Amino acid sequence: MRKMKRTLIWLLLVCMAACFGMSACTTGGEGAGSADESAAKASASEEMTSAPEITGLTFESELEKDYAEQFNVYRYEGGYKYFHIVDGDDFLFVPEDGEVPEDLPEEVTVLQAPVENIYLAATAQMALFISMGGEDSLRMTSLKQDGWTFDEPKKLLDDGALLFAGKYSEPDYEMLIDENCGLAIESTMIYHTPEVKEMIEELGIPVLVDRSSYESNPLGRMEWIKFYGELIGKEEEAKAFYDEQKAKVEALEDFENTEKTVAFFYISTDGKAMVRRGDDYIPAMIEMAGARYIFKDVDDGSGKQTIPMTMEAFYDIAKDADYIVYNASIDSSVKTLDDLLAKDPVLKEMKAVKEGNCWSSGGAMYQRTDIAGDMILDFHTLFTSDDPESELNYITKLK
Amino acid sequence: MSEKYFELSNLSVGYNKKTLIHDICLDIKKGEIVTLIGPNGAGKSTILKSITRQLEIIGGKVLFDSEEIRSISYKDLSTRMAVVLTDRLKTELLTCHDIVATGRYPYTGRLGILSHEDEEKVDDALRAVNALDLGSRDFNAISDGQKQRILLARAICQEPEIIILDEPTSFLDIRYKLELLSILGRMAKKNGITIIMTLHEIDLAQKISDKIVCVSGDHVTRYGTPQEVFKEEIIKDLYGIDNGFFDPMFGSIELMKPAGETPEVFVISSGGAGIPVYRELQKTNTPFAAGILYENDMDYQLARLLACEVVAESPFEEISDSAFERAKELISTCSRVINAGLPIGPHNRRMLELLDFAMAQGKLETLPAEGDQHG
Amino acid sequence: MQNTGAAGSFRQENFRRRSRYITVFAVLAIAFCVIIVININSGNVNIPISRILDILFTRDGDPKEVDIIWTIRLPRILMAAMLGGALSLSGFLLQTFFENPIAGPFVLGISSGAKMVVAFVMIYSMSLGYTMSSYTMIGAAFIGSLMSIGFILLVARRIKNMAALLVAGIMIGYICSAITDFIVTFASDSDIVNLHGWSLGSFSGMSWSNVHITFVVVGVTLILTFLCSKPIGAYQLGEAYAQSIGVNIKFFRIALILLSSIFSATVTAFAGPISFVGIAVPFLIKGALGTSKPIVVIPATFVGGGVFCMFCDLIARLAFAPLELNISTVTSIFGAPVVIYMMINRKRRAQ
Repeated sequence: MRKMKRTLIWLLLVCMAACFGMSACTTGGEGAGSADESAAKASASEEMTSAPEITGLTFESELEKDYAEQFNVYRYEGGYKYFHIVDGDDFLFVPEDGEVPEDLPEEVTVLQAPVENIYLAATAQMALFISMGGEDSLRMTSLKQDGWTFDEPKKLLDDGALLFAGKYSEPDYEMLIDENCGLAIESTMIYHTPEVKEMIEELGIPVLVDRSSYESNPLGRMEWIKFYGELIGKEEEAKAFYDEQKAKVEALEDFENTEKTVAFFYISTDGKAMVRRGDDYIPAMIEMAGARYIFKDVDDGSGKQTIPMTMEAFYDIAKDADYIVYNASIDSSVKTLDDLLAKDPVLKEMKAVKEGNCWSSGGAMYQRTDIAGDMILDFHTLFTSDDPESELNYITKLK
Repeated sequence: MSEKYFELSNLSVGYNKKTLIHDICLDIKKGEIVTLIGPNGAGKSTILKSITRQLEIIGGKVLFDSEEIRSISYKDLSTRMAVVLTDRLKTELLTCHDIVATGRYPYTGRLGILSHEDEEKVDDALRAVNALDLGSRDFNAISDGQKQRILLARAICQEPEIIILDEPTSFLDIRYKLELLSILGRMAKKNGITIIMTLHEIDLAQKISDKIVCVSGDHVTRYGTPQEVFKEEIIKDLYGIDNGFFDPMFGSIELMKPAGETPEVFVISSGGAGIPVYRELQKTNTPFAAGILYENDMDYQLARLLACEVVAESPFEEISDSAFERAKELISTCSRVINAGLPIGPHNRRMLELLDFAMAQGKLETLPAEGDQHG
Repeated sequence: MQNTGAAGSFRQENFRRRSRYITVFAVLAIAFCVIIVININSGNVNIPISRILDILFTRDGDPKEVDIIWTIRLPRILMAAMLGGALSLSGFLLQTFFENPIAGPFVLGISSGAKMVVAFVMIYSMSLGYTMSSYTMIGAAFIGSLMSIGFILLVARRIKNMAALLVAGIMIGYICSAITDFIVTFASDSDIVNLHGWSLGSFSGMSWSNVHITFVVVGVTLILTFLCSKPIGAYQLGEAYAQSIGVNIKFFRIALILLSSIFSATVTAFAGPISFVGIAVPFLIKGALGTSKPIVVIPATFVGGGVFCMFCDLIARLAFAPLELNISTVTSIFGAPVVIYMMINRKRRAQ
């Protein structure tokens, strides 16, 4: 009798474990990011070389890109568009009154026009939408007024044109439904909270994960404006804006590098110097602007874009850097030179500090993806002008 | 003629596989009251715990109705054996009724729901221990003595054949000690329930038990009826008493006699009158002599323990010369003579002479009499 | 001859107590229904009650509202009810086991084990290229709980007394926390930004598949627990007496720990660790019923736990909408005073 009871209990445990196992497998398939899916997309982890074949659709043209490498957009007759994101998801944009093609592969999510009432939880893309005049397509955002570093979204929130719908990890699902959200654009942080993505999709709202931060070229990062322009019908405006910025940067192409060195970093709360990997877009901006990023060769092999260093290692490399540009978009506590020096005693031994060449880049660096060109020009001014302080727009001096 | 009912056969018990007591052989009959006595820490509780299967048996067997107790399931055993232990119960919000009702556990169904019959049995059990009025009270709110009775009621409610109790009278005052033991006695004689228990109060053990088990050292030193076991020397050895006496005749416990070889006081008494005097002198640690006491006088029983010398005479004989002379000698050496009172009859007329002798020496103190005195 | 016996008799006492139990159960049932209705009715979107009833029973109506009620609110409410009940029962079982009313469901280190594996998965899943699904986290938490449970069971087989088991549980807690802190040092902020939030628990984002699994697991365990009312009642007298009335102690110890752990592991897996529920609710229920007899306490605690958690979830959702409080924050606010009162009372009574 007791043995039977014991066996029953073990059986129960095994059943539960099996239950969990099974549901993990099946519902894993519901989310767009399961192991099965990644396998199917093994071929799709690069740029597509040619337009996919879709029953009933004839390929027309591909969106031209100069620098962006993380997406492709293919246009088909009748206003159909196919969006492919490298290592991400695929979407088929179907025009209003258009029919969804049969045999469309399951992994491709359908976006029926018009794509509106967007919940934008990828804050870096807000600038892109505003720059191409696409704010009408947006309805909800994941940052409140005081989280934005530039005025336009603040104003939209104040006016009620934009609503705060909760941060990416805890969105207000009811508001999403109530506002008829047509698309949720999320940053890669959503991968840390997969249940949120699954919940939004279960409510019938497609989720698009923006992967522009994987672009190594700052102009490529900005070129995503064309991607979103195609999505909301602002292709012309997007292209125009992009070209303008591109021109500003291309004007610097022949500029000979000053060979001045720049240390771009911030110091984390546990005392580590956090620097961007050498192939990241910010070092690229610095190079384009005519200086050298001093941490170009730093890589800890972890695959992450921000690399922690001990202050020793940091000092070893950067002690003779000509410029310090502090990443105040992440660590906004540094407003004066004293704030900076308070972070670590070794800083005051650095050449840039002794020569008074300490600068800080504000929140715009992260949020203003649209004005990459302007930012590069700002850097250029920093490195070349005699009196940069009076001419700079986005970089401030630390004194 | 009777088959063995409850038998311990070469039983060895102990903790963590280390033997404390070995080779216990006991044969207990149905309806018997068996008490284990012995010094603290001797292992009495260990034996009980092994019988109730709380502790693992190290060697030997326990046979219940010829069945080895280890092969009986816990459930079956629970309908035949109940326990009252020294463990403190930490209950919350349970009434005494609830506690006693757990005795019905082996008889109720899957979910333990009590039938009307069960409820009545609970009340009956409470009645048997005179605790009916405690029924609705919270178990934690009553006194230790009352708790003990409730626990006994619980065991009774289990309708067992054997009840095992570990020091059941420890927290009780004299009234409840007597009550508990009389209940146990009734259970045994009227209902045929076998009682196995340990007691510290050996005087009570002597009076209520059918059999006594002496546990000391690493084995059972004696097993027999109270008459066999309760001899002064045996008890003295068992407990290592060197500061008093146990008097098996009355089952009474006496403190040490006053120190000293030579008596200072001579006590003349009879029929119980001397007893309070002896006790007083013992309290003041005054050595004394007593006489002349007949050997069947009750004063004699105590005097022989407490006095440094007793002048005795055979029962129903006239006082002999040797006794008389010895008494006079003692009176001469003592500084005081106390007459506690004694009836004078035709056979002990010589006592008057002793009294006069003492008076002549100016040492006589006569205690105020409570009853008549023959003159 | 009637069902009430003599004055002060057991039968009479039981009769009186039964009326009290019925009252308490009725109150609980009403509270349960009321709190469900309030929960369904509250959210950032206002839906009048008449339409709610329509939607619940006919699934018909404005598709937006149907979605909100069926996909967002209802699964969440049901999970809060079931997990709240599970957590309270888990606490009750451990309190019986340790004969101590302050034993909580996580005293055996289950939440620490779960947190350790969850942290591990959060940090290393990204670098291994594996994209997580919501069930990855649930599975991770469950596996972590199982590890703690397994260890505790191993210890429980060997030890003779309770204190050792408690110590083992606390040790597991410390060791797992240490390992978690160790792993976290290697993590980038973005990986573990959600770890702290996870460890405070949340009922948000529950789906119907979650509800189905929980229903089966918690349901089965609840029934098993209820069927154990009798031995649990015996156990309340202490192991020695329980054994003397026929309970197989060795087996039963394991059963108690296992049942309690399944409850708390399920809660941790789906909602994260939630504090105070497992201590406060059994205490309140026992006080209301006036008894600790398992056969009534078990169902009442389950329902009471559900009511408590649904209430706390309501507050968590609405207090600072659209920002959500973590559920542990709210349960602490309501539960901690109850526990403090309980501890003071105990001390006073012991004196």
